[in-house]
Amino acid sequence: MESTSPIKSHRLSGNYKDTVAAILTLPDRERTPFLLDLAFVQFAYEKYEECLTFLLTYISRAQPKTLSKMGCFIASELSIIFPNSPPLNQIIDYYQCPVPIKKTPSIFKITDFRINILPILTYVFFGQCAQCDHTFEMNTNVTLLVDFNTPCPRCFCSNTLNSKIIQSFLSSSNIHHYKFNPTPLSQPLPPFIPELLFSYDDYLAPLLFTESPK
Amino acid sequence: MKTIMFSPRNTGFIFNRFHTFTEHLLNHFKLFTQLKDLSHHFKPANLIYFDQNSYSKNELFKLYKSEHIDFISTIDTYITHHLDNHQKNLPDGLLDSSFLEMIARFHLVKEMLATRQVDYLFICTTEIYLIDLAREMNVKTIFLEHAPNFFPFTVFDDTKRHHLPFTAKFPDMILSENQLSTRHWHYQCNRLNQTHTKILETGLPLDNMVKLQHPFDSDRQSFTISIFNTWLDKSRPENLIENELNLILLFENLFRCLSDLLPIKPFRVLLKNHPKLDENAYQTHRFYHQLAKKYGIDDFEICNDLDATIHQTDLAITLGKSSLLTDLLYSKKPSIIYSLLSDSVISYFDDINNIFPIVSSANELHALIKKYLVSNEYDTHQKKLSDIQNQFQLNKRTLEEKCHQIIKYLT
Repeated sequence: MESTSPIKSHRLSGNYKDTVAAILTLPDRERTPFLLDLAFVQFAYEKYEECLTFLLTYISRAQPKTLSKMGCFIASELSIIFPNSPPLNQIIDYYQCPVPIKKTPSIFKITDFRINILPILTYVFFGQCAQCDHTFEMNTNVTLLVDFNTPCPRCFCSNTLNSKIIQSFLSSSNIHHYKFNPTPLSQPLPPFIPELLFSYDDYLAPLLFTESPK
Repeated sequence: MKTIMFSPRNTGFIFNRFHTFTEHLLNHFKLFTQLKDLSHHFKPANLIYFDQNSYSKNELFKLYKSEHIDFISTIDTYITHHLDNHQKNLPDGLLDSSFLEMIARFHLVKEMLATRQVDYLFICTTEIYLIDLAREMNVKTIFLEHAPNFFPFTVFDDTKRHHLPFTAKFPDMILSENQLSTRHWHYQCNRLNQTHTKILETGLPLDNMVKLQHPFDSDRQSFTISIFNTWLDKSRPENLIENELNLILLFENLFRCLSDLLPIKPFRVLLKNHPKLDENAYQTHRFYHQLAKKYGIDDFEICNDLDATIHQTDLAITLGKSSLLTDLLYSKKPSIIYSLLSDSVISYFDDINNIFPIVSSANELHALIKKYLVSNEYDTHQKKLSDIQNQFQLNKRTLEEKCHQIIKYLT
C-alpha cells in the first residue's frame, strides 16, 4: 500500500496531473482502487463522459459493498448531467447516494501563486476551500481569463476561481517582479548557443518569474 | 529520386497543416522521417523510417557537455545582465530539462542527416539553429511556415534581437504565400544582408487556409462583429502576468465599447478563440459569456469553427498581428487590430498598415467601429481590400496548384 499515499495526497492537494501520472505508473490490476480518483479528476475537468466511464468501471471491477463519500458525490452529480442513465440510477439506488443539493459555489481564497513552465505553462493558485478550509491548488493553462468551478477535493463543495479573484490577488500581493534591463548584452555569446536560446526563448523568459510571492 | 525531410517542428504539423502537401510530395520524393505511423496515413512506398536510438539524459549531457556548460553560463549572463545584476537562484532541474529539450531535437536532426543523404530540409522560422548543421551536411534548407504573416517575425524582430547578440541566418530558400509576403521577405533579406536566399512564390501549401467556396448566407440580416481572440506569447516576460492582467481589462473595455454601440445599430457578436485557449474551454468560456451578460450583449456566441466564423463576419477585431489577417484579407473582411501592446510591430509597408488599422484604446475603437455602423467605412475598407487583392494577385492558387509549383521547382 506504499504507493497509495502519493496518489491520494496528489488528489487531495488538487494536483491532478501528478495524480493521473502516479496512477499510470501502477500495473493495470493495481489501478482498480484508484479508478474513483480518476473519475473525480475527470469530473473536475468537466469531462463527464470519461468520469462516468471510470465510475462504472470502478463499480464493475471492485464491486464495493459501500460507496465512499467521493463515489456518492460523483454519482449524484453525474445524475444531473445524465438523468436517464440506467446504470447510474441503479448505482444511486443501490448505494443510497444522497440527492445533490444545489449550492452557490464559494469563492476560492487564494493564498499563494506559482508559475510552472514545463511541460506547458501553467498558473498554479494555492488556496483554501471556503467551506472546510482545506488547502488545495487550482490551475489554469496559458491564460488568466477564466471563470470556472471545481469541487474541493476533501469536502466536495464547489469553489470558484475567476479573473476577478486572480486580478485582486495579483494586484494586491507582492509578486516578485524584477526590473528588466532592456539594454543589449554586449558580451559575445558562444556561437552555438544564441540561436538555440533564441528559438527556445519560450523557456527562457519565464525563468524570470518562477518564484512565489514574497 | 530526391529525399526530403521535415524538421522536428514541421513534422509536428504534418497531420494538421501539411497533410495534402505530404501526400503530393510522396509521389515525387522519398520522405525520411522519424514518425513511425506515417504509413497508416500515407502511401508507404516512398517513406523511409529512421530508427532513433533512445538516448538517456546522461548520454545527451555527455555528448553535449561543453554546450551544456555554455548554455547554463549564457543564461546566467543573460539573466544577471537583464535583471540589473540582481543575482537570482535559477532552478537547475528546469534549466537542464530546457537544455535537453533543445539538444534532443538538434541531435535527432544531426543523426538523421548523418545516416542518409537528404536533399531538402523543410524548417520552421524558429528553427534557424538547424541551418548551419544542414549546410555542413550539404542539405538545402527551406523555410516552410505553418501560417503566413505580413509582419516582421518574432525571431527577426529588432526589439528581441537587441536582447542577445544574434546573427540572423536565412535558409537557401523561402516558400512565400503571395506577392505581398514575397515583398516582405525580400525586404527582410536585404535588411539583414541575407542575399543568398531564394524566395519562391509558390504559395504556402497549408490545409487550414480559409476555404472560400462556402455560399454566402444571404438570409442573414444582422451585422456581425467577430472577435478573434489570441493568447499571449509567453516568451515576453511582461506577458506572463502584467499583460495577462491588462488583457482582462482590455476585454472588459471591448465588451463595454460594443455594448455602448448597440443602441446605434443592433449587431451580433461572435468570439473565436485561439485553439490553445479552447483546450480548456470549461475554464475559459464562462469568462466571455459572463462579460456578454454583464454588458447586455444578448446576441453573443462563441464559435469553434474558424471558416464558419470568418464567413459570418462583417467586421473582424483581432487582438494582435495574427496570421489570421491573411485569411481575413483573402475573404475581404474588414479587420481592425485592437492591440494590447502600444509598441507592437508594424509592417514595413504602408499599404499593409493601411488595410489593417490599429487602435490601442477603447475610445479609438468605439469611434472606429461607429464609422462601420453608420457611415460608408465598411464599403471603403472592402474596396481597399479588393484593390490590394487585385494589385498583388492574392489568393489565386488552389492548394493542389501550390503543391505542384513547389514540387516542380524542387525536382
